[in-house]
Order: sequence, then structure tokens, then C-alpha cells
Amino acid sequence: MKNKLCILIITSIIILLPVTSRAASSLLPFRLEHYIPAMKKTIRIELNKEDSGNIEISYTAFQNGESKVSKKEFSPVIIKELFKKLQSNQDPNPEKWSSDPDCLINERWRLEFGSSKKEICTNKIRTDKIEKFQASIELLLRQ
Amino acid sequence: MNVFLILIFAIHSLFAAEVSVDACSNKARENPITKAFENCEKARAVSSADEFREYISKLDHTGYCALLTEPGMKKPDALEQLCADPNGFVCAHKQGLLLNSQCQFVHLEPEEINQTTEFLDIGCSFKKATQDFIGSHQNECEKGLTKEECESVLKIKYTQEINEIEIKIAYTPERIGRIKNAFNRVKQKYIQKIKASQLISKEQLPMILSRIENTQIDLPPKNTECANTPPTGPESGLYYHTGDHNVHICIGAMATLDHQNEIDLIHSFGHELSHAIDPCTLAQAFPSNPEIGTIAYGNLVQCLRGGKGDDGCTDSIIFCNTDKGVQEACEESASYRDDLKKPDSLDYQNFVKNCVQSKKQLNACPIAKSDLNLPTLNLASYRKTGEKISQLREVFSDYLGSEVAGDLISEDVKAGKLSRADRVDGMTALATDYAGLHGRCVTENTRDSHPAPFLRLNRIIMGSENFRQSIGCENGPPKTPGANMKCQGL
Repeated sequence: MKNKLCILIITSIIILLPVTSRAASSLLPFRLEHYIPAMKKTIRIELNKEDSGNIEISYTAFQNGESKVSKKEFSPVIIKELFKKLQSNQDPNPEKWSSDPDCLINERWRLEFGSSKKEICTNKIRTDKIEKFQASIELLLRQ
Repeated sequence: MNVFLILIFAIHSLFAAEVSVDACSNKARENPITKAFENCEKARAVSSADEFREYISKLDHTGYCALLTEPGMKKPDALEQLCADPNGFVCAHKQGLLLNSQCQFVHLEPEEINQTTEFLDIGCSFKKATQDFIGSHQNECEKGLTKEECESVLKIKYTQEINEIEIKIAYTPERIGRIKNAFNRVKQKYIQKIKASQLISKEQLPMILSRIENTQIDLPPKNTECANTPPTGPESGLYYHTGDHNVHICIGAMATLDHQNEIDLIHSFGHELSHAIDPCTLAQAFPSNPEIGTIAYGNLVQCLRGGKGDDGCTDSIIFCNTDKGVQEACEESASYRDDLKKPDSLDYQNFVKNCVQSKKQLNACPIAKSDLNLPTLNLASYRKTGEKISQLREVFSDYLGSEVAGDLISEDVKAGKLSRADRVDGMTALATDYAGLHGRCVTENTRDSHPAPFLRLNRIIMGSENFRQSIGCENGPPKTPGANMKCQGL
């Protein structure tokens, strides 16, 4: 009975892990750069998969020519929750964005993820959603 | 020596050290800035000379100095020195790390704000409130998650709610009340002065008036990008946002409000409100008439810059854009565009050509290649490389801000609310605030969009006759290099 339970647990892990990881991994490696003119501040957020299977989030702000970094590792389940903030906003009418002031395609935002390098609006991700994603990361990394 | 200027070996690396101590612990309060405020307060409260010296000695070890007088000694009058050279006065005292006689000082970098009692208290309350909030939602977590994972998931789900908790703790009704009161006083005075202005052209006056009338302060913060604390530490500034035309106050500035002098606060709002009507903001608001901001203010722009020619840019004291700088800025812009091909392609060259053409019209705005090494999180940081850049919008705001603040200070003096000693404290606070901005105590102008502090203080702020008179400076503008400015008032 004890062995059967063990096998069941191991099987569950094998089945569940790839599902969870796949959801998070499809957008990795992930890199977001955001320049805030009012603050004269550039923020860079990077998500990279570690050998351990965890995902490291690094948050960088530029200071004196050196990077000031805050880093922390999270399990795929957290990253999955995080990406929900970006993926839950697929807008069925992307053509209306061209006149939407929230949909900024300019030097303030740089976004790369997965194997492609694209800009925010062409990926159907609005800047207000990115801001919420960024806010969650900032909260997660605070001491 | 009557003035005890407690000069300490400022070890800034101490502030820069990674601080990860618990905000609720006593250990977190064992730091130079907290000790500086604490010992300054104790020294000014005691009546015995021995006790005074003891606290002064402790203050001596924190990295700051204070403008305090030993009990029983005659209080010196530093007003004349401040009037003659405010930047020089504060920079002579440990590079401006100088608390006034009320122990006021707000020029704090993020690492320093992190260490103030006020910010630690906010951090501690926030930590407890977050724990309570997460605890009350724990049943929403899926089974199988660790406690830490559940916490993270809830932080993601309730980011906005948790951030609002921090804002509520930091932006207290008392602090908001003080800020709004100061802001509204400045705004009303500004409106009154514009209506009676001999400087502003009659044609542009209604538009300028309406821009000031429509400028609000974002409190409690709804669109303030620095109302919460990022992992790299709190921001400490206040700023005018050209996007929503409102003034915003960062959490760090809110947390340290108790250490801010009222004259400095009023002057800051005068400066930020002026950005709503500065020549660059106006040029951007009316792209078909980019000269509007220069024309609207008679010869003020030329006078502030201090150079020759119609625009005052030839051999100017306050810098202007250069052709090379504009070209470099446009090439930099083009390099960011994914849709433009190589630099030798026609579309790339056309983009740069059109960009140069339009940007040259914006001589009131700072345009040059960015300094990638600019230390953006540091108030004292400044652009060091590249071509000279227009500094007009900042000096304009310093000058008009001084004009408005001057009226309010004069009113308070007449009403008996500000003594001569209060004005010394106000000038000291304002000068230490400015001396540390964008090139702490540098001796030459910089390539930054903000002129060097000695020019902002001695040339522009003290160039306002209205401001000088309100403080009690009777011998004209400072005669230091680049100063001695005489421009028409608002």
C-alpha cells in the first residue's frame, strides 16, 4: 500500500510538472524594459529558467553605470500565476489599439519573450496589463 | 565659534550597503540618518551645555552636521552669508549634508529614506498589514502549495489591494492635508500673479492662466508611478507629469515630509506648477507654434540664459541644445526603431532628417543623446557626457517658482508667522535641497538638463528680486560666477 502511494505520487509529479512548466516556459526567456520618463528611471525585468526547474526573476534598476539588482527564484506554479496577468487580456479587436493611447509603441517599452522579439501591441498585450504584471513582480521581490 | 557645524566624515558607502534588516526591528534604526535626526533633536532640546556637547559629539559620528547653537551662546545670524552665496554656504559644510536649526533636511537618496524612522515605521506597519491580509485569504490557495507559494500567489492576485494598503499607511490624512494646503496656496497665488502679470503677453495670458488653473495634485495618489516602494528602494521626489498635467508626490517624499521646511515645500510646488507653463511644455502642447513658449514671456528666456543673440544662446551661462546634439538624439531614436533598416538605408536617413527638422524647433526642450551611464536612482546624479543640452525649462521653473514663493513668504513675514531665524532655516533647507541635486556642489555647469546647483541657487532663485526681498536679502543678487542676474519679474 505504501509503495502504491509512492508510485501514485511520483506519477502525479511526472504528469503535472510538464503541464505547469509548459505554461510558464512558453514565454521564457522573458525580458521587459521600461523607461519611466517622469522618474528618469529604467527598469529591466528578466525571467530565466534555472537548472533546478525554478524560474529566477531579476529586477534591475540602473544606478551610476552599475546595475542594482534584486533577484529571487520562484517555482513554476508562481510564474504560471504571474503570466496569467499577461495572458488573460487577449483583446478580440486589436485593430482599435492603433488609436488607443494605452497602446504605446515607442522607446519606453521593450519586450522580448520566448523565441521571438516583438513589441507590446503586436503581441496583443496592452501597456496597462504590463504595468500590472510589473507591479506584481515588484511586490514579489520586496524584502 | 558660536555656530556648531557638526562636520562628520560622511561615509556614503554605509548608505549604499544592502539593507535587508527587518523594518520592525530596533537594529534597523541603528543607522546614520536616524541617529543624525535623533541627536540633532536632542541637542536642540537640552538646556545644559554639557548635554548639548554630548549629543553634538554623537551627531558628529553620523555623517551630517547641523546649524545649532550651544545653550547660553548668542545665536549667529547666517542670513547675510546665505544671501551672498547660498550654494557656497551649504557646500562649505560637509558638501551640503547640513541640517538647519530645526533639524530639517529632506535631501535623501533612496537608501537613506529606507533608513529613516518614518519610512521604517511605514515598512513595519505595511509588513504586518500584508501578513494579516494574506492570512485572511489563505483559504483561496489551491491545496498542495507551500506557505511561501500561497503567499506569492496571493500577492500576484491581490497586488493592487496590497499596494493600496502601503499607500494608505504612507499617505496619511495629516500629510495629505499639509501638502494640499501648501499646493493650493501656491496655486492661488500663481493665478493671482498671472492675472496681474506685466511679463506674460496679453495674447497668451488666458491660455497660460488656464493651464495653471487646471493643474491638480494627485493626492491620494491614483496615477503616481512612485507611490509604492519598488525592490530597489523608495523614490523621494515630486514631479509635474506632462502626460496628465498633474503634480505627483513619491512615497519617499511623503514619508519624510515631517523633516521638510515649509519655505522649501512652497518653493518646490512653485517650481512644479511652473512646469505646466514652461517654454518646453508649451512648445510640446502647441506643435504648430513651437516658439510660443519663448514669445509668451517677453525677453525672459534670453535673460535667464544669459547669452547673446535673439535666443540668448550665444556664449550662454545656461546651456542650449547644439546641432550635433540634436543629430545624435535623432540617430539614437532611429536605432531603437525595429521598423527602420540599416543606417545607410533611405528610410533610416529620412527618419533622422525629419526628426532633426522637427526637433530643432524645440530649442526650449532638452534634446541630446542620452547618457547610458546616468545614475537614475540618485538625486545627485547628472548627465556627464555628450553635447550640451537645453536647461531652459528647469531654470524657468526655478525662477517663476521663486517669484510666487516670494509673495507667500512676504505675506507670512508680514503676518508675523516667519521670523528672521525662520527665514535662515528656510533658506538653509532650500539651499541644501538644491545643492545636492544633479551634481552635488559641483563648481562648473554640467551636461545635465538641470543646471549645476550653484547656478540654480545663486543665479536663478536669488535672481528673483521678489524672492530675495521676502527672505530679507538687501544687497542685490549674489555676485558669484554666473550669478548677478537681473531679469523682469512675473
